[in-house]
Amino acid sequence: MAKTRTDLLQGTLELLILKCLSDRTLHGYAIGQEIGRRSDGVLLIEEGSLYPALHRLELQGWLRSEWGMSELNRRAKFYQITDVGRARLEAEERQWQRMSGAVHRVLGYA
Amino acid sequence: MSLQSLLARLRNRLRRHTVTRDIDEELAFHLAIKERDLRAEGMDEQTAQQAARRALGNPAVWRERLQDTDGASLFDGLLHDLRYGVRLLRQSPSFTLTAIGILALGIGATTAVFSIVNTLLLRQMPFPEPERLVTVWERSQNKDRNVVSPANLRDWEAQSQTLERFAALTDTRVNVTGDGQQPEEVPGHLATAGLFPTLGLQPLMGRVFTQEEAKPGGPLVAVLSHRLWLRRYGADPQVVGRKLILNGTPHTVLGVMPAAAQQADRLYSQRAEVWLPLRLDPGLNYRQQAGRYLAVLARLRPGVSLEAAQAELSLIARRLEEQHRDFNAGWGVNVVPWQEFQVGAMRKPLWVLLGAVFLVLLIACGNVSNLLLSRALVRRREMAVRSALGAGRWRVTRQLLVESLLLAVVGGSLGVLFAVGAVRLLRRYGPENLPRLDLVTVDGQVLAATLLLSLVTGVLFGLAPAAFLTRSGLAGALREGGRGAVGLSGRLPSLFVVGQLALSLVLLLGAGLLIRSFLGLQAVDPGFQPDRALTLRVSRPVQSGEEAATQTRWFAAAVQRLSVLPGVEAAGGTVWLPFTGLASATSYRMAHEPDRPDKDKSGADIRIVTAGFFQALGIPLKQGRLFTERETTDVNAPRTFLVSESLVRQQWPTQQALGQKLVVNMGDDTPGEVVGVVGDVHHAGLDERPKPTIYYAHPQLPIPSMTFVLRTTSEPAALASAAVRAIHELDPAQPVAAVQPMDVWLGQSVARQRFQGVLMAAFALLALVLAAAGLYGVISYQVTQRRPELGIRLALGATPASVLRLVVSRALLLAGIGLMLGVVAGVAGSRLLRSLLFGIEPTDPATLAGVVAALAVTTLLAALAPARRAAQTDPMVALRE
Repeated sequence: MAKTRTDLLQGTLELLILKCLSDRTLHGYAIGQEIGRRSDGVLLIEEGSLYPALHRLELQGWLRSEWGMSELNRRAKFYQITDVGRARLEAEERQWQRMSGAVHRVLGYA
Repeated sequence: MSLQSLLARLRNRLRRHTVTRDIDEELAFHLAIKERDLRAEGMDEQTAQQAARRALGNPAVWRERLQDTDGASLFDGLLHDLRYGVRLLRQSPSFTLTAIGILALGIGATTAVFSIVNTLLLRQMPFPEPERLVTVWERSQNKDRNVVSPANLRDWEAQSQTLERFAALTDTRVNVTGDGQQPEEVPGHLATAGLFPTLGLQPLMGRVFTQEEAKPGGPLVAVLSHRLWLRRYGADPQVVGRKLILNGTPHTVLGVMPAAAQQADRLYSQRAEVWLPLRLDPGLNYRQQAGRYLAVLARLRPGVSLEAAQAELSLIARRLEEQHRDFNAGWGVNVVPWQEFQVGAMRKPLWVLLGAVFLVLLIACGNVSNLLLSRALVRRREMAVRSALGAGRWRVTRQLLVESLLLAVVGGSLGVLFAVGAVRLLRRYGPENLPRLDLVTVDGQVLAATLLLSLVTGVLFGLAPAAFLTRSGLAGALREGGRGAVGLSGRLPSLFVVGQLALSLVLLLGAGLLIRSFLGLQAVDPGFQPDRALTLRVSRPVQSGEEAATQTRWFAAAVQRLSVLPGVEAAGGTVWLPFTGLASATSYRMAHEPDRPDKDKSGADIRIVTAGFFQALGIPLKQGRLFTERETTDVNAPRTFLVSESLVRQQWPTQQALGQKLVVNMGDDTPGEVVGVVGDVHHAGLDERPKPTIYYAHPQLPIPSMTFVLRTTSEPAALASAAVRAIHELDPAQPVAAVQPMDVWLGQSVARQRFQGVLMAAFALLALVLAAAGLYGVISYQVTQRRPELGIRLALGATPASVLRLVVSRALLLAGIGLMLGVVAGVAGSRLLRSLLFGIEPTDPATLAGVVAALAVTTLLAALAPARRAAQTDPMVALRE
């Protein structure tokens, strides 16, 4: 399986996580799977980046966590986005669009 | 790092175990579900487990990384830094104690001065809405804040739309007798009924007098101060309604004011211990019968600005000028906020003091910084090892800052103790006339400020060493024999010392100017002989039911008795003693001139004296004669005046003064002949010019309050009890007040300048010692560093003298730069002191030269010891190093 490129910026990972959780509640492993699925297998997040990012986001108050029952019938930590997090997501999305649009233009893709 | 995340980290730190458990559980779950997915792809249980574990990596590393992210480690780290710092400081006690000592001095002094500033300038008055409280004065050509005429006050009250709740008061003295205790004279206020409502003060017990009660002919009532109630009546809970003999007649006590009012009881010029009604007669024309003698308070109407009130009252004043030309021509109005009136004069001196003590603190910081830097050089190896082991730059800096903050906080705490002691000393020995000095405390506000100051100080002096120790290129330190600081950090201590010397010069200059100012003030000839003179005050209020002739005879008899006491060369009395802050002044004219409006007439100070006064106080007679026996005892004697030299200069520069006839605007129009001229006397203060003065003989204006002056052959204080006894022989129930030598009054008048000079001198001296110590430290260190080089020089034939010269010249170089900077800064800064100086310019060259010389000599001395050590270096020992 392809490894995550380590030069996926930390900020971008946070953006992806927030987006994933924008309409659902998931536990850590499922978030990683979801990102992989939505990117058609291109972005495979390493555990080493995922969990620290999740915890960071929670510290900042953009995610909220809850212990719940998982499909394995054991406890798992579920994450969901907060209102502040939603606002943050919007801002990050806008920023990303500006950045990538600029890069596009420089590279000559109209 | 946002506040939110910081708080979250703190929470996690406190729930450390829960957090660890959660992390473990989360990771365990991840393992389990990964295993399930791998098995779904076809792996067997064993392989799946192994694969999952391998993907996850080392769980211990995990846990740590997540813990780090969770932030529990941040506080762990700080705690660890703290413990390490304490251990380190304990290992080098001399360094630690020195640093803490210096910090305690610096922070303590700053705290002490700040608590003075806080109490006197910043703390709010205990009234509701104190910013709306104002004082209202009449303004003349000569005086900005003159007391007010009751008639004018009445008109202001009636006509003003911007001010409300006018209240008036005047100082008085009240004799308290008849309650079985020692008769006592207490200061008091005569006040209108509106005083306490205007201030917004409620009585602690009982009530205050009403407007009805304050009318002429109203009941005899009084309100007591908290201090008097405690002192004389033992906090008697039944005191309300009690009848006290005040000024010879029974007064009913209406109420007692609370202790908080103490902050407000110095409303005009003296502290009041009792309040009596000021009875203004609505039917009296005060412009004809009386002068100006009231202090007026009022409140700004809601929404009205000070400027608007000032403008309106100036308008009213102009109207009154038109309506009453004789009385009001040339008189305006001055509205001054109450806070400004109380502390305005002190603002500048106090801020100057605070500035000075900040400079001392900066110098102290420089010293501690240098101490840390010299220790830092020893610790370079330790820091290099840390870096090599992976400590980030921030981590190391954090460690060092924690150590600095630790020093600062401990030093600051000690400093607070020191400040509390200093404040206590200040309250006991500080100048009497610095109002509210006895209220200065180190309170919560000051403590909070001190804590902040300590932290800032810690960061300030900790930055330089931390920056030095964490800069890259420390690898050299790990090499054997790595020593000698290069680049800027090597120069840092020298830079600090130059700065310290410059600041010391500034402080020394300021102190020098203030002290010379004070000495110059003290040297002014007051116009009389203040030594060997005892004064005592006796008031016999008119209410005792005696007529003028009897009063005069009583006082004359008192003078007689005092003058025959053994040890007394001469005795006399005056109603208003110089340097007591009391005076009377009015206008006068020549008898043969027609009466003119006030502002066109000349003004003079008025004094009322008995026989023997001029001899007792030592005022020289310049022309003519003094009052005769008859003139000083007989009410029916023809009126004569003595005048002062300045009045003669003002009024009769070319003519003969003796024989001229004057009419004084005080009481009646009887003219009096000038029979003698006496020397000028400074009355208000040594820094004010003596005013033209007219002396009445007591029977002519028999005010029944007198300060007696005794010229003694020896110590004036020794005659105190004899003098009081002499008075009591005349009247055993007569309170005698303010028995003290004239010297003391004089001393009080220059108390502020002395206080300032002494404090500044103390700060300057402290600064000098610190700066000299700093210089000594730096030169010593440099000598130690350069020992091999010096050894070589000596081995090659250099004389010890030349080595000495080498070291000393280096020190003088530093000192020279520091002095130059200091002179520039000092000359610029001393301009600020101009308004505080007397008889000396801020740019006075003699003072400047003096302090430069003092600093130069001190630096020379400071550099000598290490220089001598250098010259005595044994070349063999040095070379072997």
